Amino acid sequence: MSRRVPDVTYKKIDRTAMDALLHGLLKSLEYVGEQRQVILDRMGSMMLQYLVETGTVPSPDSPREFARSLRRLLIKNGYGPRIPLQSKTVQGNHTPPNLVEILTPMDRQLVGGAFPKSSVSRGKEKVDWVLYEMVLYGMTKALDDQLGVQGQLILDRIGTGMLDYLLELGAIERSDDPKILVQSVIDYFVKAGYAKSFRYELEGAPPDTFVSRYESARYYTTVFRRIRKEGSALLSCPLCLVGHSIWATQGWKFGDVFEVRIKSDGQVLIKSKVYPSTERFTEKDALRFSQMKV
Amino acid sequence: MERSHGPLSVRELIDKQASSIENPVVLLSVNPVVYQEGVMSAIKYFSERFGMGLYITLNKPYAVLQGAFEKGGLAPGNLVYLDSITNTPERRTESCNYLGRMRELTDLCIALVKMMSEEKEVKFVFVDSVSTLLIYNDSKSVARFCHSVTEKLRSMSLPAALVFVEMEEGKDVVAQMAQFCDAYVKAGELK
Repeated sequence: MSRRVPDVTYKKIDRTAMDALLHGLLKSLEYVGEQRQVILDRMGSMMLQYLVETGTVPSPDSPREFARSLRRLLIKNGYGPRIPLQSKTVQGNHTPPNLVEILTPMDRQLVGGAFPKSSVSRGKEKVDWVLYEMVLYGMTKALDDQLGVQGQLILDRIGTGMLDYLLELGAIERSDDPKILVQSVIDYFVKAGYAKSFRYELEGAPPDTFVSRYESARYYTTVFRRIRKEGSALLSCPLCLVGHSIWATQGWKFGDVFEVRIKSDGQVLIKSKVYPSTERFTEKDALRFSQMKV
Repeated sequence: MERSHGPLSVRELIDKQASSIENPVVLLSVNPVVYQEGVMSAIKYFSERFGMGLYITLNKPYAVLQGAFEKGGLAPGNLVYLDSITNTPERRTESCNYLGRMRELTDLCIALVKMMSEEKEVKFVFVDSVSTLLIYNDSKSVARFCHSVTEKLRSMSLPAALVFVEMEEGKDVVAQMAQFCDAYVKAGELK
C-alpha cells in the first residue's frame, strides 16, 4: 500500500533557482549570436501568454490593466528596478518589454566568471512560483515551436549552465563523484521549494530506465501537464536538466519520458529511457544495412 | 567547401550548389532561428525538381508538418512520411508510416528499406533532422548512420537532403557529413 502524503502546493521558490535558470538559458543561447534576441523575444511572448492564460495578469486587450498588473507582479518579486521606466505596454500599441531581460538583473549576472557579493546575499530571497513556471513554460514552448524535439539539446545545455551557476554560487557543493553531486542537487532543489521530496532509481540489467519519484512537484502538475497536452515531448524539469548534465559526464544520455503518473495527492512518477555511452550504430550495423535489399 | 550565405535564399543556395549534380546528396545546415523556413524552402526545391519524396521526420509529428507544408503551398500528395516522433503505436496510413517513438538507428534503417521497397514512386529522400539523433546517440554513431543512409541512397540513384540544425553539439558530425555529401549548404539569416 502506498504511503499517502499531504500535497504541498509551493507558492514560492528560492530566487537562486530562478537566477540559475535564467543564467543557463542565456548561456545556452550564446552561440546563436545575433539570432539570440529573436529566440528570447519568442520566449518572452510565450511567458506573457502563460501569465494571461493562467489568469495571473489580465489580457493585453486591456493594455493599461495588463501593464499595471504585470508591473505589480514584477515589483512584488523584486524586479522593479529592471522594468523600463516608460513601459511601452501602457500605450498599448507597442511590444511589451522582454521578460527574460527584466528577470535577469545585471547585479546577479556573472561578472568575469565570478559572482558579485550581492548575488550570494540574495540567496535567501524567494520569488513567486508562477514566475518560475512562466519562464519554464515560455522557454519550453518557444523551443518546441521553433525546433521540435531537438529543442531538448538546448534544454540540456540550460541544465549545464544552471549547474555551473549553482556550483559557482556555492549553492551546490562540488564533488567528483556523480552520485554525491546529484544528491547535492536534489538537496538544493528540495530546500529551494521545487518539490517536497525526490528519489530516483535505475531499472533494468544493464540499466535502461530511470525512475523518478516526487512528492508535491509543482512543475509536473502545471507546466509539464500543460506542454504535454499541447503536444510537446520536451522535458524542462530543472532538477532533471541539471541531473542530465551530471550523468552526461558518465556518458549517459536520457531519452523519452515513456511513463508518467501524476496523482491527485501530488505524487509523481516518471520513467525515462537511458542510454549508455557505447556506440549505438556500429560498423557491423552499417554493413548489415548496406546488404539489405530494396 | 562551405559557402557563405550572402544575399541568397536557401533555395538559391541549394540550386547554386546542386543544380549541376544529377542526384545530389545535400547537407543543409541551418541556424535554429531559420530552421523552419529553411526546411520549407529546401523541401519545395526538392519537390519541384524531383517530384514525389519520402520525408523522414525525426523531429516534428507528421500532422504538424503536413499542416505547415500545406499552409506553405506544398501539394499534399507530393510526400510520403516516415514518422518516428509521433507518440502512437506502429501503424501505416496512406501517406504516413508511424514508427512510434523509435530510438534505435538499426530499426530506423529497417523501416527505411521497407518503405523504399513499398514506395517505388519516391524520387528523393528528405531527413529532418540529423541533429535530433544526437539527443539519444553518440556523434560517431550518428555520422556512421548518415554515411550508411547516403550510400544506400546513392546505390539507388536517389537524391537526398539531410537537415542539420547548427548547435554546439555535433559540430564534428557536420564536418564528417560534409565529406560524403555533394553539397554543404549553410543557411544563416533568410532573405
